[in-house]
Amino acid sequence: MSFLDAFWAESMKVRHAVIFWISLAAACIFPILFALIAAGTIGTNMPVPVESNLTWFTAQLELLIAVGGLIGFGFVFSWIFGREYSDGTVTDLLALPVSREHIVSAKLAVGAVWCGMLAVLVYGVGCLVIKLLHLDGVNLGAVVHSFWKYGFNTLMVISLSVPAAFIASIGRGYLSPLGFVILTIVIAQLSSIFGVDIYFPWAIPGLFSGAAGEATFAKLGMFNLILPFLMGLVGSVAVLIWWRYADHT
Amino acid sequence: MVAIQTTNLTKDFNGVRAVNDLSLSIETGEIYGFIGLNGAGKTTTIRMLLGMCRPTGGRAYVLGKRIKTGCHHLWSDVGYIVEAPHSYPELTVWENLKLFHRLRGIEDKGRLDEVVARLRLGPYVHRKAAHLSLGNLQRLGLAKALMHGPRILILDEPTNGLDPAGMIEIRKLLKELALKGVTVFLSSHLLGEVAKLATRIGIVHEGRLIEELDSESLDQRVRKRLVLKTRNNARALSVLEEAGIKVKPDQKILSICDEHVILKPETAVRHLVSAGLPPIHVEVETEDLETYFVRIVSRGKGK
Repeated sequence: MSFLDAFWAESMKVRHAVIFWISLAAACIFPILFALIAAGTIGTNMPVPVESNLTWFTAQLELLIAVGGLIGFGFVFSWIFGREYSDGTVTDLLALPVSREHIVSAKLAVGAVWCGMLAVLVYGVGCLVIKLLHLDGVNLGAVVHSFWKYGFNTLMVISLSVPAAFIASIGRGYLSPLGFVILTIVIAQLSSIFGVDIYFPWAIPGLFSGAAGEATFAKLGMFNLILPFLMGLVGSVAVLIWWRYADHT
Repeated sequence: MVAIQTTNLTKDFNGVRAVNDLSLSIETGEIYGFIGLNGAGKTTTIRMLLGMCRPTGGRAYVLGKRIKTGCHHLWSDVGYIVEAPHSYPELTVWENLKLFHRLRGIEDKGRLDEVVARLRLGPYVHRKAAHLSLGNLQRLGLAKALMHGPRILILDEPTNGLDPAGMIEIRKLLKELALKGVTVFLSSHLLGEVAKLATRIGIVHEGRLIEELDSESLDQRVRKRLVLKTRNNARALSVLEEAGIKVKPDQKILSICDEHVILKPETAVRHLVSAGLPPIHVEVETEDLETYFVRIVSRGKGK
């Protein structure tokens, strides 16, 4: 029961936070913009080629999750853990008849659900708008078919955002994990320059989205695709160990 | 029964000893005042008692059970406030309480109403914690600490931010709880407040427990003096000295530290009246806890 109680408590904190509702609103803006660009309503002078079809549109959503998601989801985990330190409420969670493992697991689960909601909202709103704009190739079958790759990318990005929870805990706030998120994005860019991007976990979602071209996408094997999930696992274990064993001063 | 016990509790932070060989034994129903300067090791001790910090050496027990990592079942009998009361600012008072009601697994739904009434939080239940005054945040913190009917209360500065009426109210509440068998361990910098509340006081300095005294022995250990004022202090001084009473003249008063005279002030008064110098002010002044504390700490006495 205590995990469910902790999950209920964490979701209550999130539901009452303004930042949660802002994030949902922000998640609606980007797919609408992409849909309007795809339909040629706005952005007609863009330097990149725009195709008015579902394939181009879903590729943009994947890229949005791969790069924007790293920032957005990283912020979600940074906030869920970091706010306890910034608001000084962490001490209230450390000596409860609920194990700290349940509290941390509940936080991670709520973070994952929040990120999942954002991803589904981005995709759902995007598809709804392109349907209303009568874009080429938009039908339920095609939309569902495109979703698996988008969904897999979302899961990778969520996993890669989990270490931000650990950084927020050791950094006692949400500034250091945000710095960490930006650093991973910078290193992902650099790894691309040095040709080692397929081994850098935070670069994998971008490559998987096809942003670096089909050739790089083809290079991604099982090992490379497991790396983001491995980071999620390492981040989860690290934050669990930290909350259980570290001195909370 | 011993409610809280520490044996040779020690904590080092990067080579700096924050708590040094601290041994405490607090009985059920006691109100133990833990006082010390900033950085003396009070909060570190409290954190170790709550399992938030692992001791470098020694052991701590709550209700006979050793505090160690993962002993979360222990905390169903403990309520606490560490350093300052914090609450989730975006949640209302009621939601903050409901959250901990659920996390503590309290089945009695009426407990929330009871604790709200007890801490006089009724008018604020629908107010967000972000908009509460420090005093009401303190009440909310106390409500969270009390809602599950704990057998032990560990409170860091429990009256901080409260107005004088609130302080009296909380003092009364803690005394009532102690009478019902709740053990209260409180740290405070408001030493006068501790003196009014605690049944036993521990003075900690540089991580060491340098003095431990109950409220009765505090009365014996504090310095007292007999203060006299006459219309002619210079003459009164010579009268008392002729009578063999050692007097310390001050600008406007005569101060006597002789224990026998303090116990029987009429001795000195009789001499003055006989000499035609009836005192216009007679008072036995008692050193307050603040002064006693500063004297003990500055002496740097080791136990």
